Amino acid sequence: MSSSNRFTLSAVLLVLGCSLMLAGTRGGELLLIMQKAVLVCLECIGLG
Amino acid sequence: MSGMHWVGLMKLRDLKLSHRRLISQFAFFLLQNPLLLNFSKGKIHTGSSKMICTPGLNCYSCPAAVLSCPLGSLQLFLAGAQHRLSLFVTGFLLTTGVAFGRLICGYLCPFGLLQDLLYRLKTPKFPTTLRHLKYLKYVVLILFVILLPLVATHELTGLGNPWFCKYICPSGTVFAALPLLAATEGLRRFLGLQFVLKLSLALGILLLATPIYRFFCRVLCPLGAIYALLNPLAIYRLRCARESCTSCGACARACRLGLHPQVKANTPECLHCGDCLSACPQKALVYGLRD
Repeated sequence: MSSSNRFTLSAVLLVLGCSLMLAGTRGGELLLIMQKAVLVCLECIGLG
Repeated sequence: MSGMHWVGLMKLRDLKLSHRRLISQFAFFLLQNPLLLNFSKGKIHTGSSKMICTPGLNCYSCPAAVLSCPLGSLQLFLAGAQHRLSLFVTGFLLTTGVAFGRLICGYLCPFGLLQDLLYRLKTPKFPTTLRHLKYLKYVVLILFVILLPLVATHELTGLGNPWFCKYICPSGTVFAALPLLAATEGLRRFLGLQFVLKLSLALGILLLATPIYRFFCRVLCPLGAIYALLNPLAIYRLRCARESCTSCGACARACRLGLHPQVKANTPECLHCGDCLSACPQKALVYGLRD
């Protein structure tokens, strides 16, 4: 892949990534992540 | 900026790259885990900063952590009632991966720092390319992070499990389980076979990290697998200036991963340890935004 094509693909993926983050934020995903992360994850520590 | 800051920055630039990388790793470790006193208290942070993911492998049940683990968050949605992909976490991994690739593994990941410290121990070293084993991390990503949380669900609740966190993640065992179990007597009553297996795996991984450079990152880490796929596309990247390179091979000889940066930099397996940059007599390997 040529350098300019690669750079274009990277830029497109970067915009796609930012759009997905924005959509997820609007969909209230951050709150769900926080609700999970503020409790001790028993699976993570091998007890769940 | 004051004169003293300039002097500080100049001194930082004069340091060897390996030392600068180590300082960066410690700085990012503290940025992601600033609540060190929580280790002795056996409690975890419950603030709103945990809405945000960290790019490295950093368990959100680590008492000092103020951010969330992207892999744990990804499995949370896949194993949840709706069994779907998190748009936020997918976008976050795509954005950070495309921006920096595996530079995150080299400079930012707390578990990478632990392995780097273990590799510094004066023990026999086994430089190996892990030619076939390196593909195992993609299997772990597909199987333990995506498929099993999605498919292996409880027949009554319909909920799945975060399989990678539950059965593999050594970061969770080292940075979360051990400090929490040490400080909280109540948790110790629930210790069982699952913990013993997970602890054994973590100990095995840490033992292997001493003779083999970044064994876990190269063989098992699913986050490393995601960044490996995006590393060749990374915007901030390593490149070899053809006009300066004399093809002496010093970079390939210095690479602990058995890579050939003068032929192709920014390959999926490159962890950006910087050994090749330090070894190049022509300073032909440089970081930048374009090839």
